[in-house]
Amino acid sequence: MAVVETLLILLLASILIGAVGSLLGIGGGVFLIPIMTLGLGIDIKVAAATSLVTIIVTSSASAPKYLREGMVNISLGMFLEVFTVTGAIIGAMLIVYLSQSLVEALFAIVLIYAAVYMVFGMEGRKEVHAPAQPGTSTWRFNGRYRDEHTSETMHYGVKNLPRGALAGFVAGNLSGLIGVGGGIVKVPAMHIWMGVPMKAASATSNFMIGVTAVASALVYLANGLVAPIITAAAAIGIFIGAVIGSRFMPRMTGKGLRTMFSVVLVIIAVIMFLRAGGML
Amino acid sequence: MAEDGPQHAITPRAEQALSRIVLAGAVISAVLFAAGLVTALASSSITDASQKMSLDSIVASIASMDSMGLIGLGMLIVIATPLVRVLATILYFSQRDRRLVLLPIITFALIVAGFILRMLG
Repeated sequence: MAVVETLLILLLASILIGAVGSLLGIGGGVFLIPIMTLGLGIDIKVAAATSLVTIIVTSSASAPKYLREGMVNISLGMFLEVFTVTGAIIGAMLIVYLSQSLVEALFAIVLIYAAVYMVFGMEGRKEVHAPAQPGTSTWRFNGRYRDEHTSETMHYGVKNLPRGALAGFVAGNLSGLIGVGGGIVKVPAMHIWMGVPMKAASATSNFMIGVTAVASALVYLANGLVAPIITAAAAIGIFIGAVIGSRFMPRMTGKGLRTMFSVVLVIIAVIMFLRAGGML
Repeated sequence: MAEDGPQHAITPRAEQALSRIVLAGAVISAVLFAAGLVTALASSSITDASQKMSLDSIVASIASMDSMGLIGLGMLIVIATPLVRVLATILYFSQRDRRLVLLPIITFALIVAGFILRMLG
């Protein structure tokens, strides 16, 4: 494929992915990597490196909004970052020793998990875990957010720090291994295990993924797996798409749309499995 | 009050400062990426879009400030942005909560150590 054609396809696809990711509340890696590998014939490790750089751009472009709204639990984010970064560095160091087909098979499993998560895992619970008392181990992680229905500031506490740390490590490891943000692991873990309200969990995850992705991206960079030209095209596209998605379109919470994209992810996962098994 | 955990020590001013840092990084890098790509396409200097580059080549290209240099600089700014954010939280929490400040220090040290280990390995 000609250079201009490749870059144009990648740019347009990235704009779409940035907008869709913003609408669905997930990062674009699960869509970007298959387009690069299956559509443009790019090595999955290079695609993962590209995806990591776009994740940093997405996080940097959208985190300010959440920070201004006071939705981010910065203390909790800093705690979990220690574990996501550890996992990310280990994952990124392992990638050079894994075969392309193994990485593709692993990515396909994550796609199926992401598809299930999009249909069943994004419904927020209403109840909020009570804030911890001063002097207790989790008091430092008490958070607050503004409820958009009642316009009241809600206070919440955080529980199960060890479980959250484990989920953070797994999310970071996935990020380092296959170039996704890891929000599909972190957000439900923060919400279900740690008692963080869904919107605060999502905002905190978004705040963290840039740092997690940097830890992996630096290792990819040191491994010489970064392709600057396609990375630049994808990053511009994702940036434009994320701005369009967050500014001009309402957040889609309908299950129908998420189900539709989940089916797309399952189809991509099947193609990835077939490719990993040498059948395509 | 039970709900007033240390997170509330993060003032709206600090949140705005952090948000400005990350937004500036995203915008500047996107502009550099766009300028680099347009320049490279205009000069027809790209032969392989998915050509990988080592860190040394990227740093060397920045010195030349050609199309690849602009893209390389954009990439370094993308990568530096979250690191600057971590450093900003270290500075901020060092004045407010000595125990919490350990977390971003550990995170920063881990990132640097991971990079150095890979470079040496």
